[in-house]
Amino acid sequence: MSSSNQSESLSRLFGGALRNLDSAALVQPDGTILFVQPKTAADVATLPQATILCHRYLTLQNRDVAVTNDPYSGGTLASDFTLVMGLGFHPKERNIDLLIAARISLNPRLPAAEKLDGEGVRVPPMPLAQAGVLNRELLTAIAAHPLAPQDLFARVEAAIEQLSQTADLLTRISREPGSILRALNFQNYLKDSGRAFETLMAKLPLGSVNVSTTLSSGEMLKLHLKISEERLLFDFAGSDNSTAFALTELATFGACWAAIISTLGESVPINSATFEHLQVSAPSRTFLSASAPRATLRGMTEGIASVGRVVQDALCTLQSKLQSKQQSGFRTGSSPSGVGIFQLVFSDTLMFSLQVPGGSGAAVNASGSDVAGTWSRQERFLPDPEAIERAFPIHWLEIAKRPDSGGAGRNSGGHGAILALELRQDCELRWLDGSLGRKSSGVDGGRPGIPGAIEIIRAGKTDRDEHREPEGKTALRAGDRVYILSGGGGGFGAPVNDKDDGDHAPP
Amino acid sequence: MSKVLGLVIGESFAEAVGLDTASPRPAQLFRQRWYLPKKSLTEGLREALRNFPKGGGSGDEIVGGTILVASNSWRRILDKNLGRSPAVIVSRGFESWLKLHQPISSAIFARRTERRSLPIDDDFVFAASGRISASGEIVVAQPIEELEFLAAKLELLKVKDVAVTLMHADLNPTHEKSIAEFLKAKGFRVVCSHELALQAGSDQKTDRFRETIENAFLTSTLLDEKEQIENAAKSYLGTDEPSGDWQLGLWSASGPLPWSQYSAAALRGGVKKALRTFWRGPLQDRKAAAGLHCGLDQFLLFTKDLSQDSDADTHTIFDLRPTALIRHGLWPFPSIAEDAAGWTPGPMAFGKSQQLAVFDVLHVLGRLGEIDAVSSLIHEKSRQRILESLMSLGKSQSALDLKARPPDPLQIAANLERAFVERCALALVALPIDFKDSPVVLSGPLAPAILPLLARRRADLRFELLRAGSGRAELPIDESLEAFAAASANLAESGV
Repeated sequence: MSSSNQSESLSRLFGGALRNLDSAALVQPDGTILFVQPKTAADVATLPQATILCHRYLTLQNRDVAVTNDPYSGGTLASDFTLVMGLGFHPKERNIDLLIAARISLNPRLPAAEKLDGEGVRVPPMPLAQAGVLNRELLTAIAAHPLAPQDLFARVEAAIEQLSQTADLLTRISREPGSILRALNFQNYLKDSGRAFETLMAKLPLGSVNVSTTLSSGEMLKLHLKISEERLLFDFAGSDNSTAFALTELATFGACWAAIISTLGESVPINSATFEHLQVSAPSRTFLSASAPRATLRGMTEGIASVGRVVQDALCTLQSKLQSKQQSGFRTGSSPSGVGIFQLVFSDTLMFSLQVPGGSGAAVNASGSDVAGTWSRQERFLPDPEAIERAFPIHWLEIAKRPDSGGAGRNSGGHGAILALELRQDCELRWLDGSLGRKSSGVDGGRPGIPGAIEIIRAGKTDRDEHREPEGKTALRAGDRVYILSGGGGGFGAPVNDKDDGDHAPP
Repeated sequence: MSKVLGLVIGESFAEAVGLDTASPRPAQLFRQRWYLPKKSLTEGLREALRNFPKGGGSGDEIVGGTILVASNSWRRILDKNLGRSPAVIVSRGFESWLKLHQPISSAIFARRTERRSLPIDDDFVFAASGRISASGEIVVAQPIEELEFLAAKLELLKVKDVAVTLMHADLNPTHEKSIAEFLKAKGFRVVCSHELALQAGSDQKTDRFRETIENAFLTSTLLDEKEQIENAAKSYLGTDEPSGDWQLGLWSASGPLPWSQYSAAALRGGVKKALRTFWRGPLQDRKAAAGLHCGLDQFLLFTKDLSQDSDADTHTIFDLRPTALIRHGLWPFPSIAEDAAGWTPGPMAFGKSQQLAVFDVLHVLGRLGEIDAVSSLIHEKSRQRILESLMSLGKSQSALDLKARPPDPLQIAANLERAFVERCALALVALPIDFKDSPVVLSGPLAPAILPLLARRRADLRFELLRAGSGRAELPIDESLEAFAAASANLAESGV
């Protein structure tokens, strides 16, 4: 088979083998990244890095498993655990041919803490299974930590089982005569991936541009973007030191990657060969390259979205500059920052957690998508109300599109969502949502989207308490009604026959 | 003489097989396949029925038999949006949830988020105030006056089909039943979510709502199909109703059912079930490791380790369709896409489409022998057009490489063919079974084309072509065939 079509087959094989894992990666023992299947933009570069570090520190052998959740060892959040398994194609040998990584996302602790230790138990890379035998005592000890996520033990155990199934499949395929799982094919696959990225880069404007913006949380973000034929350079020198947000440099890399791919609207393989074309420079101490013990929850959610937005703005500015004031096809209205996280804590062992996306910004040729999420690979974006009512003391009143929440425009912004529920039991509501109280801006005369909000009607009362602060918590009683309203995306272009100011009253 | 006519309605082709089931080993009397855009279901079926030798006691008397139908046309109706948007009644507060909750189909960093489409017109979604709790209790009773108003509105909108999808109706169907009863009395056709048999392990609620809506969407078109079959049967029998020992039946996901249960819900999974029922025999008789059915609509894998009711094809890791499209995707060279052209208007070889498909590649490489009812559709000048399209795809591939030689379309076709065969090979090796000394058996109209390619790719395995029973040993079996023979033995038990 020609290397080209073999690369396609390998790509399909990697995707098929990892399809039961949420966020996953395949890395060669020498650190060459073959395939990344991210669940979020933060995973793009952090997951392979966690894989590489686990192997570097622990020298994994066939069917050994390592675990870590340390954001400063390639992790993202204290609630996201990365498991790395060594895989040797020859069962009698302990040497390995591949590393398989899977990241499981558990419920984060809200509200966000200032220091990492307040966000959960911190697990540096450590061995969790040897030759397929799980160290249950170690996992029990980690799961028993008071700040560990509730179902850590069960989820880790299940993930190891899934990793083993993937390893079995890849082993079977590797033993087949003429198998495509060979080092030489990996090289060709990487070469073809690099060519695919070059094809994509040819669609980008060449040149450089400086943009700076002040984020809603107060940080100044500066970006020097330089695009040459071979490389994209993202230099964040001059950005503020860490205050509200803290990202790692690799998470910042993921935000830049996601912004480029999203702007171009095409996919490319994610691996070492394509990573070579991006260079991200985020000086240490800035909030884009924070270090321990800074907490990362807000940075890895809202912060990633903000960085991505600035990168997209830079691309639009560069394109407009080169096309002498022509309207950039890359421009879009903005979307609410990240996906809001809401938790109803009924007891130490019963918590309902959900993520509620807003509407996305409109583009020059299309309206925004309703309830669309931001760079998050999920099967669905809204919960199954029946399943939740059966598992939690909640009665849904409404789950719907939030009418008129997307900014008006020639193309209107996507609408946010309304999730309304009545409680059957006392609990505490905790939330983290950067879009609360903040409008998503429109472009070229497009109107802003309606900001997100939380509204509460206490049992027996009719007036609504409104919360627009990006994070917080409040005690609730049985009979209280909670309305979670996610924000709409910004519109594109002045609305036709619309004389209002675009500020719609929320329903 | 006891006769079975097996009718399989595919996405664009129909196939009829006549069997004499009087003897312990059913004998095949005739078989024919036809292309539905060119010959209607009624016409084709009428022709097929005429192949049955009449006779029995005296002269032209028609004695005993069964027409057993399995249909995949629901898939085409959904893909090509050929149904009719139903009215959808949902629990109040969830009017827009159904669409928003559909699975995301776009890539993670796509510019726009796309969801799997649901055949609903937003103006046809209505709320019912009745509410069932998570424990199955009635929290709010369903007001009857609301139904009066609703029925009037549906009449005004000239809606015929209604899907009722209420919260927790699987626990307590009271409200769904009362709404259905009320609307049926007014002449509407109603499909309710509580009627769906749920499969363990699936995303039950979402599938229940989605399938209910899809079934209502399919209803009118499938009723047309039912009428066509009945018309052909009447014309053959010369009576208004199947009479004497003749009966009609259908294949469902759970096996043969009486004709009165003809509906979208019953037909779904019927073809797969028929094939699965059939494959149990050859896999045992031949001690085969796996059966690969190379059908026109889809390739399916069967293994003897799978329980009777499991979904065999879920054990594959790749979706294999002979009309899968070829285009530039992730890679800077043409590759096989996830989506398929189908057979209407068909691949480029049929002369009416601009879209290259795997079938076109097999055609230009000369892999396709004579395929009943398919070969005659191949346009004589299509080969040149396909080669030009491949050349054009190859040019964009080498556009960035100034030193690249002009592309060779046959080489591109060969690469694509190998990629397709690689997918078949990977699908096989992905099965957790031991192939040692056990053959892989291939069936279906495309099996003769695929077998030599697969045998070359997996020289370590043994491949065998599964052939039809008595009389037509030169032909590989097709979509249904002996599945119907096997099933006919069960008909008496199942009461069809």
